[in-house]
Amino acid sequence: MYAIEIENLTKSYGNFKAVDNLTLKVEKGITFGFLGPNGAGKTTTILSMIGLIIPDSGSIRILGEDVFREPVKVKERIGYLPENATIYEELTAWRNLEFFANFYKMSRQEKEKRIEELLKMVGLWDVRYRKVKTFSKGMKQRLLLAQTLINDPEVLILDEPTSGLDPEGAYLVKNIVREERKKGKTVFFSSHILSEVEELSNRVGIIVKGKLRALGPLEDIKREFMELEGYEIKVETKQKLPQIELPEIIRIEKVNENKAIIFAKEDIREQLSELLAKKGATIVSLKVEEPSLEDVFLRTIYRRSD
Amino acid sequence: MTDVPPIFNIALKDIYESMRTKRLIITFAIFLLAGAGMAYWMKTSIMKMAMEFQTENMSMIRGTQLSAVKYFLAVLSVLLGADAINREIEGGTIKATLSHPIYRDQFILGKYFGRALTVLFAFLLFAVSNVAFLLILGIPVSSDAFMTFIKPLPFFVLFSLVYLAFGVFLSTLLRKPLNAIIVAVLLPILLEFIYPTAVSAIIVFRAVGSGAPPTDIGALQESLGKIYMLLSTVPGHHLDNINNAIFYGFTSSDIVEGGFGSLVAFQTQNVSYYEAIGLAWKHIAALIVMLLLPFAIAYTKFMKADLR
Repeated sequence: MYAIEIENLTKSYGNFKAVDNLTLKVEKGITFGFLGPNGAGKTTTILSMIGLIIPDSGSIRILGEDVFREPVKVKERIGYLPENATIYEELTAWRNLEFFANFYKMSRQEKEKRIEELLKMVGLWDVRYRKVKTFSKGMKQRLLLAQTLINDPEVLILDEPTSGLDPEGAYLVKNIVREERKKGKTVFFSSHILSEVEELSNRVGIIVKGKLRALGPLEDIKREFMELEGYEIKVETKQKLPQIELPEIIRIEKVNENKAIIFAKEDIREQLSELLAKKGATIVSLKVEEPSLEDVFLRTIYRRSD
Repeated sequence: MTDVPPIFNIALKDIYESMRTKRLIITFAIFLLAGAGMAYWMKTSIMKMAMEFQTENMSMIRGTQLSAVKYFLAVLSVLLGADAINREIEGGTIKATLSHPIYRDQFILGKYFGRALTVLFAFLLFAVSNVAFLLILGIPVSSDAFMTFIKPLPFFVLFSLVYLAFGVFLSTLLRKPLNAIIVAVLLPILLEFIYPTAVSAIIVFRAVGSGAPPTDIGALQESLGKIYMLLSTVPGHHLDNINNAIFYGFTSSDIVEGGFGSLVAFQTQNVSYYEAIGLAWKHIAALIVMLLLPFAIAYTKFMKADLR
């Protein structure tokens, strides 16, 4: 069963198509990184998942329930961290969480226990009776994160969760994501920080101009990228590098006498080692350089976008 | 289980939140001062009268005072409603709130109820301070006088709710709270002052445009009918008529239908509260329609809006 199923989602603002026939499925228990440049349609997709935006067409199901037909049933089981949002500034941290907790069927003791747990978790326990308007941006973001977790959700939807956070805050968010993943929760998060996506997610989706350009486990996306864009093989020999000629080679960039980077259509390490052995060269190292997520991301945006 | 209904949760949060704003504290202070000022006005008015007319005129003074309060109420109510929704959208707080198990209609109703309770509280503050200051100034408030004060209150509340609905309508129509607040300040001035003055002036000018003295009672009555018809879009006009029915026993339609002669007859009539409501039922119905119409538009707009 999928935690999130988006089918043929389309949303336009005037003539601009923010999301164009997007189909995306996210399995239960995984951490899904949703990547895309600004204006690619990430936030529109996420807001549609919460029911804050009404799409032109398509459907969204979360934990088997239709988001637009059964909004309350869905929202009882999810937690959402909005991007660039704030929390009620005239209320204290405690009163804010109490307000959100009141939407759930919990006893007073359960509510108080949960609020205490969360405030301690996000490091705001000591300032729980202070008005939010006196908080720093990072503190507000941490309180927002706490409200996301108030109902111990099965699916967490985080829109740019570390945006505007100091390193300590970002570390806290990442830790929470890891903890939730350990508990078997599904985490769907959008980000433009590629290292963060690489670090946290086991599946990635890249959206460009409202269309999904890449989807799957990070390793698969990288492999697919290499097959499409070519392999980058680094070779180093003890002796001077001999002349290398193979039909799969696109070009060779010499670093020095012993080192070179070979760009090939496929993984030719076996053929290379045979050729070098024949020519009497001793191999010091021969490895395929994996593309970074940044390479994949940038190429996806600039090469594949129409 | 502590199961707080979502509408009340939103309403209580809204009251709790607004009680902590300087804007509301200033508004409450104005209402408190208005209550005191009106008590002083009543005292000076009564002292100027001959003793035998005091009791008879007490209700008339009260009616005039309450008509003046309507301007305050209109401005306060429309201002309270004007940033009910758009401020939540602008600040992004609506995104966090609506991600919890609550329907959109519960949100807008909760916001409306929260603000309505705040208006009621302000009005209650005015009423209590008014009675308290009357007692402080040495004017005895008999049970009859108190009833005189209480009788029109439900209609003042209805009038406030109409302007609150106008405010909520503005808050769904205009994305920027500041723009909505500017329009909200102008709206009661336009509806309650400029428009009625302009309508009356134009129609009277046309009726007596020849410069001849207005001797034709029938023509004047016809002009008055036109004025009242055009004023039927103004909430304050209906409130004034309900007030007139309660305090003087007549409404504008009675004058138009019965002629000026009926005014004298009505003035001497001492109608009961239920009779007054019977007389003013059209105006009460008009206020209810004026409450429901803008709220229904705001509701529909909000239900279909993209909350980005």
